[in-house]
Amino acid sequence: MTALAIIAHNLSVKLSRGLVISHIDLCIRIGELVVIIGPNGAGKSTLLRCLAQLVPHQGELSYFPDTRKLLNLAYVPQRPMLPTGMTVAEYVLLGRSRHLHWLSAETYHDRYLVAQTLEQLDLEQHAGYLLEELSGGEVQRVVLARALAQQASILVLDEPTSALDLGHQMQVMQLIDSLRHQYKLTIVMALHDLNTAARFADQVMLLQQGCCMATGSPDEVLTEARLSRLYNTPIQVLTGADGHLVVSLAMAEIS
Amino acid sequence: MNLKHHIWYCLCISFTIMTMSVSSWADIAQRIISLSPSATEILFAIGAGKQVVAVDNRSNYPPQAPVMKLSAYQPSLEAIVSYKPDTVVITFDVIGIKAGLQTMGVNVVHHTAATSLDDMYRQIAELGAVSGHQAEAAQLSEQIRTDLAQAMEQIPILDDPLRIYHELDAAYYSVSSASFLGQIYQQMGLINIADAADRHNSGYPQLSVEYILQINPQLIVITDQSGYNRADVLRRPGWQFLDASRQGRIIQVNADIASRWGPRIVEFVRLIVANIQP
Amino acid sequence: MASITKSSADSIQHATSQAFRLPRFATLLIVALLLGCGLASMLLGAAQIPSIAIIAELLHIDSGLTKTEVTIIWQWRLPRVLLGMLVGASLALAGAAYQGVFRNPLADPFLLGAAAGAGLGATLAIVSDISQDVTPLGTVPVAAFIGALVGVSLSAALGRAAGRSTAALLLAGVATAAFLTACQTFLMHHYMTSIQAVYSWIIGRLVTSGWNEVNFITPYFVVGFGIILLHRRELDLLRLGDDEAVSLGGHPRRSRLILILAASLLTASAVSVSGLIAFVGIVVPHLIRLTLGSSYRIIVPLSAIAGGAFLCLADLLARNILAPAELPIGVITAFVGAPFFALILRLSRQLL
Repeated sequence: MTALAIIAHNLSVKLSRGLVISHIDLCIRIGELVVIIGPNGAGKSTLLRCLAQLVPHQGELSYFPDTRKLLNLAYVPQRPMLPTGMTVAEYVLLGRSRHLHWLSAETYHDRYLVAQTLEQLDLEQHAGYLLEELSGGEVQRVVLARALAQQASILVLDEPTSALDLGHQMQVMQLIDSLRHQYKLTIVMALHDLNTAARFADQVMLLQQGCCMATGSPDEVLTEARLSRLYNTPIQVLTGADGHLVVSLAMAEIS
Repeated sequence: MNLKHHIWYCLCISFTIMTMSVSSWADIAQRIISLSPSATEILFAIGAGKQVVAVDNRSNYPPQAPVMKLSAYQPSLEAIVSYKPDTVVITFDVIGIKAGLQTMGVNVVHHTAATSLDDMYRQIAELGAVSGHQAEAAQLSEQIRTDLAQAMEQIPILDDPLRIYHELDAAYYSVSSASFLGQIYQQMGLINIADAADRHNSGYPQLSVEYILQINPQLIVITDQSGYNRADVLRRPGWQFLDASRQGRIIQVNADIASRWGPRIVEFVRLIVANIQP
Repeated sequence: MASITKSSADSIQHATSQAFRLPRFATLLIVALLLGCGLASMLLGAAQIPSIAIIAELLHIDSGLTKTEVTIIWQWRLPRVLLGMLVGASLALAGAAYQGVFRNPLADPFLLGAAAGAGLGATLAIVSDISQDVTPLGTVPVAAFIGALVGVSLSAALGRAAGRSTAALLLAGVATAAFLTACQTFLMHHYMTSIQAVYSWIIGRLVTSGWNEVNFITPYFVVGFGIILLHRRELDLLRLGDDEAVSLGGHPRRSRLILILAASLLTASAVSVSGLIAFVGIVVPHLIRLTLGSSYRIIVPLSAIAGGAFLCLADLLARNILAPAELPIGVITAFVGAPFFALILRLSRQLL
């Protein structure tokens, strides 16, 4: 049995507008890819921020094997802040901040790593561009590059592929998946696209109104009955040619 | 017969004098307010003190002047009028005080700061006319002229006139020959080092300390209201090499007599002259 | 195919190696500017001393100058030139730090009530007629220093009561500044005779009495500069917002507090010896940002050097244009800074 990376027990998050996350239990193993799905406003972003240690919580939340208070965890928000006047290379270089000694500057190794990461994400030609000159899809890849440059063992990603076209979506997910296997990364991400979830996730958690409705493998969680009830519209789940689930909208019954 | 004539003659003369006095009595100010310390000193010096009902909060001389809570910089029309003046002497016409007083039927004497001795004599004469003490005013002017001439006679004739630096504050603000004091220094035959810095004749230029050190004034005048004294000046680096320091010619004067244009200017001149003596 | 790969390899190489680095040529130019202004300031002054003699004297070679001229060089001109550099660097650094903390390129060092507090302190000292012997600097600089710190503390306390965001702090600063300025205006009206002294302090000038002022400001400058320089990476992380900064290993809240403290110290010490010299704190860091890059790893060190050069130059003009009279330095910085800044704005608009 692989060791656990994140354990959450009875996790609750209370914000000014009320209880946003209530009593969630979560077990994530090292090297697992966990996808959080759910309708808008379910609390996915808040749960991710909580796992990224950015909001105070009630309940238990522990990380292994890195038990430091401020562990190396890469967080990609849904809408990242893009400072003006910063190039892509500089932005990704910021991902190396944790690895710098407080008195020193970025080394050749840091810059080489950044170049490598940019190449992996198909961003070589954009290295010198300013952030404000990029398209939505390019921005998402750049932010992901920064997270990867951080060389963190845990990645928390909030809808990292929402603005990407199909081709890039596949490319990015495959990259994340291969890196995960190569470096034993633990990845928690929120996704809207259930097909991507079905294809890549080890574990899926369904969130609705801050509560965990179901958790398990994609087969267990993504059932027609559950999804139709969740999204309030008929949904069918098929098995594609390569064995992965395909989720699609069914025709509404005319009654 | 002779006695009757004499008495009648005297009565006629007295009656004429009285009617003349009565007719010009209406023009003489009986309730004067002075918002100018210089005017206050002049009025009391020409014997018009009894006609002065209130003076501003800076008029500290003579001691018997009736100092009230009146401000020359921020005059309050109501406060001034509450003393029922018929004449008000001002230096600054601010917040429309002149027009305001005139509409209330008060005579306003606007004496801006004098920039020369002639200015001062003119203002003395005007105050004499307003208060009905023309003779005393003329006498005062004459006395001042005489005293000044007498004092200035004591100035030794030198081959090279003395260079004077009059310091107003620690930021090296000085007075040039375009100001009242500067005029007096000029009449005394002194060379004012501030003139080179005042090409626009503002009267009060700010000097560079380097210039002061290099030009080497032989006479330095400081006032007693700037928070520092002679010893502080000597402590400034390099000032101990100046001629004025070496010859003990750093004079600290009373700020009042160095900033007003009135009878006490003679005191000021006498003080300066005393320090020019070899 | 091969050429595309090569050019993209070059561009990636160039971009990654240039990222966050100080532009070499520009840095050398700015340092040269500082040294040049410093030298010119030493050679030109109201006392006409031959340049060769000055250089000889500075190198401790026998220059044949009189005792007075030697005193002018060592006790009046040199400390004044150094003071100009230190004050200019302090104000520019404080401005850069505030611009980073508040994420607002229009922030200046007088934002959090520092200027208003210093002004009130100076006015109190001027009107209260305390003897100048209390400290070697005189009462006004010390009172201004304390006043500046009090002003910032009041803003911080008010901002904390209103909420813990930077917006709340900014508004608290505005309110505090308004209140303190009102107190100062009241005092000035009440003590009209000292209005000229207060005004000449407000407009800003470099007052030196030997080396006292330089000795006073140097430790604050060293500490402030050191702290802000060490936090230049944190300043860049602050540009990403608190969440992302924390996830990248930064400490945004702690950094903001430390930066405000350091910037306030720099502002207070600069203002206490020079009055309220406007423009330097907002224009210099912004100029660096417009011409050389938005990263604080560039802005912090280069603003300090450029700020020192700028104020040194302004003082050079203030002392020499109407020699032997002096102009207030605040007038020069506004006259020189404003059109220069407008020109840069125009040029950078064309570049974009």
